[in-house]
Amino acid sequence: MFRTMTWAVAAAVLWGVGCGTEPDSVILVGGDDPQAEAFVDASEEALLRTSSTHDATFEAAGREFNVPPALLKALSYSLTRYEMVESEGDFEGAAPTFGLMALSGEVLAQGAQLAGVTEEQAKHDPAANVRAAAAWLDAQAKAQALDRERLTAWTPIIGAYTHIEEPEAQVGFVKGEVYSALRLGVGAPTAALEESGQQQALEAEIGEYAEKTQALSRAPDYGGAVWRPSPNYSARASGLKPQLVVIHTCEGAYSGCWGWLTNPRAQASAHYVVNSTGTEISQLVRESDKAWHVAANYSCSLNSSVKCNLNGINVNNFSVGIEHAGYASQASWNSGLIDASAKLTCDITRGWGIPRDRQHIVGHGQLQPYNRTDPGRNWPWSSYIQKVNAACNSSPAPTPTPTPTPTPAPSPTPATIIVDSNNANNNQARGYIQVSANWTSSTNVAGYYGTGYWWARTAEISDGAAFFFKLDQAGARTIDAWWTAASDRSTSATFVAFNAQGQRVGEGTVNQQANGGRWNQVGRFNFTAGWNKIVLSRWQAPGKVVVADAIRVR
Amino acid sequence: MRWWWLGLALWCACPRAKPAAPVDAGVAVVAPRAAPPPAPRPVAPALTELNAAGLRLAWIGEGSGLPQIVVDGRALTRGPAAHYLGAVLPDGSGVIATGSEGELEEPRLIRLDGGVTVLGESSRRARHPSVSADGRFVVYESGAGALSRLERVDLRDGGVGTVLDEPTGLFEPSLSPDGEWLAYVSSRDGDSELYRAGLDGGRPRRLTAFHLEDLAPRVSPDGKWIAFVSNREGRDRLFLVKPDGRGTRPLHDGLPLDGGWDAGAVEAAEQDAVWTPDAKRVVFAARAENDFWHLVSVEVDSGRATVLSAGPWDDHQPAVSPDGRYVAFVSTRGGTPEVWLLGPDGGLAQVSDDGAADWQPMFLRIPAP
Repeated sequence: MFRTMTWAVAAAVLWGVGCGTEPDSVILVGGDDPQAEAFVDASEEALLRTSSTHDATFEAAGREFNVPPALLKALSYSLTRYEMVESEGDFEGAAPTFGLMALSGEVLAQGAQLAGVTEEQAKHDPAANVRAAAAWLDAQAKAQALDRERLTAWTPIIGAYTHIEEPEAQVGFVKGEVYSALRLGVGAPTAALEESGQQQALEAEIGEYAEKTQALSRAPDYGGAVWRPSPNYSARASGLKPQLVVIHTCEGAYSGCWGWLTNPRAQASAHYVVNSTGTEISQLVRESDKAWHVAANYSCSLNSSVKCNLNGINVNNFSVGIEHAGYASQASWNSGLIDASAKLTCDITRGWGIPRDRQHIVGHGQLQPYNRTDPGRNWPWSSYIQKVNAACNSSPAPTPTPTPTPTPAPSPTPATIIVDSNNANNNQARGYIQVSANWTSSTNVAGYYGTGYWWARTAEISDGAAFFFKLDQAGARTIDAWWTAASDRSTSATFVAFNAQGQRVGEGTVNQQANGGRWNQVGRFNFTAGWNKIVLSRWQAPGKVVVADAIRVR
Repeated sequence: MRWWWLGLALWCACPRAKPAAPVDAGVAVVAPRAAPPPAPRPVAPALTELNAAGLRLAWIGEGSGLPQIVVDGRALTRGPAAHYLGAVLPDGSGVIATGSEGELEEPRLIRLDGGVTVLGESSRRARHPSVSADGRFVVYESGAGALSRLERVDLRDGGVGTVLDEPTGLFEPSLSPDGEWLAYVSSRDGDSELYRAGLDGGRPRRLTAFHLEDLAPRVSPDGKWIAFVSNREGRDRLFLVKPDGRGTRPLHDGLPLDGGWDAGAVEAAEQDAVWTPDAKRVVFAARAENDFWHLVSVEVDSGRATVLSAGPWDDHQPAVSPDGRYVAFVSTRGGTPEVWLLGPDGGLAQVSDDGAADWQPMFLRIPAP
């Protein structure tokens, strides 16, 4: 799971409450500040992490079936954000899922039996739902003689629990979602687990997956996304180009969503999938091609009598589909997901001349009302359209043209590109940052660029903070970095430069205990056209902190 | 720096016809205007209620043809200079205004009894006054320097001094509640950023850093936060930063301004931030649906937003009363910009209705007898 900095995560607690000090806090300027704590507590993620609504349920089921309650909680957070979902699935052939633990198929049947509850109880009663999940996990652990106290040992069992067939997607769900949730403090592990020194093992798993994802190709049509090509696409009908953006929900978690939609058996796809917090987007199908995301022919009577000339034509021929991790039944949407999706939709509408209104940005359920309701009644349509417009404010929605428009040529590379640690401040068609859940956002030390910075402890693991930037032409560029200096920083923080082919082209080492709050030259490197990146490495002897705040490419 | 942005609403109507009367630098006492006051207009019921609550309302009225300061519906200033309301004295005994004649402006203390004191020399600009919480001094932007410097005037003895002066200009000072330091805008490092400096001339400290613009700092009444406008996300949006440069964050995570968005290039934006006296909320104007401005109140701790007014018209330039119970603002709901009042019970009342533009309302306490 990659993350975007928000104030909400500022000074995020490491491994829950009371389990060590934040190294970054050793140089606090103003001492303790109760108001700052209030902000952290008010954040959505913090509230979710400390949500006590079902804590007793997770605890009881964990104790009863000898499954770490923290793992149950993180699993629930990753699958449903602790909501009692009831979903028929967004894709043909998908099994319905139920409850806090998104039980489905044989896991539901077997888990209910093992827990001594009926399937109906397991579907609709929160405690029975969690007990059924715990009972199923317990049975698997017994069968595999699992070392239960070792969190990372659960990886294959969690993978099996999700029914995700694709190995990469399974790993993505376990490491990128469940373990990242654990690392962020969801379901604080027990003291015994912490004392057993598993923190570094967990961080290493998360970091390894993060760097693997950072190494994926960038998406062809949207720089802020990774490219996970799906075989499930075809050519658009002659003469048709995208004229609508269709909003979907996955009816499940992110990794399972892109995993299934890249599986040839699915015979379904979408152009994009957005994760539950908006920190990662996968592009699966080029916008110029037809993704298979709406199983309906268009009827303008369902869409305010707009584009009636397209009646009877399959919607996929003239639309771009965006899937969002989550459920049509969920009560609320993470603001990061909405913001990231709005930026993406802005980019799509700008590229294809699509007006930014409710007649051209529509819900799946609106076009296919007989068997789909997504994105559901709680999708924040007004603010979503508002955010799409806001994201595009520098480039007004173009007037649709009667002839197909090729994807427009990108604007020339600016002389200077600045990539901030907060993607809200970045033009993601030109640059953005990706960090794993092991990195913590902070504003503790003044002098940061933009709205804050990321920091991480030095450790001998792969887990860099990657600043991506796009060049239209190859050439040598000077890289500057900005950080906040303090006594706990590394004196040899290494920024590694990679070209668009992923080849290492050089590195520069800086002392982050000095020269904070200004640009400092890292080095000059030969980059290639496309998405290059600068990675701030964590790989050093433990005991210090490295700070990823902003880079400048000139 | 977007010069046009600074004080856009306040200063765009400055006349440029008449030459400036010579005024010595420093403090000069000007006799009250001799012309007899016009017959008072009937006081709106809302003002009667405000007066009973120990409050007065001042604003800029253009009923005479020139912008002048009006208090409770009665003209406080008259021509030939135009007068722009900039701040009020904490004890309610007067206002700080900019007198403008021709190309020149000068800061003036105008007491409600009619006494006028010129606070500084005439220059190209005399704007954004910020009065200390104890009413002892005022800091303002002065065009007397190379571009725009920050001047301090002692309101008791007229002592004048330069707080800061830099070649790139200094703008929009906002004093801390203890009067020890101020936040302001400067382009000394290349683009407009927020800085703070002590009134004792200490070294300025940079509070923000980003390649786009940070503007309009407003120090909270408890001194814990500075609200400011930044376009770092591609549109003008309100942010908060602590006075030590830590804790930067957007004021809110989203506004509940629903419906009515059409395709187009309406730029969402936020401006006119004012703090409530308890420092718990920020009230501001947000442009949203169909290009209209609405009033929004955000609880600082939670970031929760409440829309105070919304409709197919502009509501902006809010002011919060010293007791925190009333919000005065400018609305075009009747066609002409007029001053309106939102009461503690949510009741809405029109305060000015003379058919000419009325704007920039500010509350005054009625001094204790």
